[in-house]
Amino acid sequence: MNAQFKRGIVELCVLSELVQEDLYGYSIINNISKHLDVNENTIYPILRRLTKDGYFTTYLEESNIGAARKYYKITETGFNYYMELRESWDQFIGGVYEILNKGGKKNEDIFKKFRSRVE
Amino acid sequence: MKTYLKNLEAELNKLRIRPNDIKEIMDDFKEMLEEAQNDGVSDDDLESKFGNPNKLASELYQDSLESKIGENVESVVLDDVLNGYELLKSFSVVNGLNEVLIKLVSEDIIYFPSDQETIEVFVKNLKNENDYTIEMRNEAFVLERKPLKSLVLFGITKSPSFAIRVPNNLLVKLFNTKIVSGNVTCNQVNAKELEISTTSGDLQLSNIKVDSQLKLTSVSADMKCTGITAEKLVVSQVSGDCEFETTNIVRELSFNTVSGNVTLTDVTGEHIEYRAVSGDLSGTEVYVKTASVRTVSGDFEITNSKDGEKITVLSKKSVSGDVTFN
Repeated sequence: MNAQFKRGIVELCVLSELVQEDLYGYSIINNISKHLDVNENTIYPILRRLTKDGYFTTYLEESNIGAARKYYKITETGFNYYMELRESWDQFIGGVYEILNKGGKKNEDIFKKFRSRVE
Repeated sequence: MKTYLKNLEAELNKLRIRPNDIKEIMDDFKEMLEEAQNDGVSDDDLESKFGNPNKLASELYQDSLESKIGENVESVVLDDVLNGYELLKSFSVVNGLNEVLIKLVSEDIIYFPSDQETIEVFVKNLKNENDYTIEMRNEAFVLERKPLKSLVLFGITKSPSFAIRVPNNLLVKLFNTKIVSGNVTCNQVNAKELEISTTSGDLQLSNIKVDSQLKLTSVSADMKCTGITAEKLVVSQVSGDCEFETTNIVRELSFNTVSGNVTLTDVTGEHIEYRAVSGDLSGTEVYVKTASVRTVSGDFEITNSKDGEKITVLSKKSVSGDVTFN
């Protein structure tokens, strides 16, 4: 998939993670990489970037293991930006699904349709 | 973990990212890698979690460039124009050009002269060069955004900005620019015919010499033009405002506007044709021989300090707008 497109998705995911709660760097990366292959679009630069742009602030908090953790907290601007992205994403993906579902929702249906046309 | 950190630091240093930034990044990574280790992630899996150090460094580098630049290129100080831009392509030109054809969407563009003998295209924030056609085609310089194939539909990525540096006094037969939301800044154009159309991107023109027609079209964009010479000026706009300063038009100035206002300062010409719905025209030191005005509620007012020939109004039609000469 297009790298730029993926970057956008990762950006949306990072924002989404922080909309729910304050998190530290590793937990954000870990949560997202569980679901998505992010090797190509690395999360940390996006996190740093969004912080610089004023979408997140950071604070330090002691942890029970090792050194203090840097936590990221979403700002009002960040939240608005998230809502905007989320809206475009929903619209976009909604449109895609409308197109895809025209051929049937389940693979069996799609396959049946295809077979009947080929034979 | 140590190797990973070492590699990352080496890559960051290679790209000459600011020392402060490097320190911050390395601190973050030390913290994150430690967490990963405690979480049971093996050294071999670090790359798949955090990304390859080389790739990481180059992404961080891109970002650090952007933050150094600052968003505004308001006043065009030539040395500063290229701050943050990289040279992408250059073409040699011998005589003039048949055409400059620019067709973009949301990209900003700056066009300005230099002492070089070549046309140089600079860019910043360019993610994929293949999205654009940049070439010389039959003595025409073409910069064009290719139709979108991929799915970058929502506003997550920043559009690139282009800066085109051309030889001083380069003569162009047809200068044609179409853009949707990007801003256009032209600092010197010497053309037979010039046409710029934008939807919402603002337009800033200075030092423009056109042998025949200069045509500017916009929907909501504002236009600011100074130092304009042309045979004929045609401006059509919907809600954007336009401003002309130090402008000499041999024949006709024609303005067609819905709600946008027109401001003229130090302008000469033969005839002004003004059509508006609610937009006002206000002029100071506007020396023309004749004028035709047709508005619904828009006013037309010209104030001149020099006693010269009076402006003859050829036709005047307005519902509630005033036409005044002071």
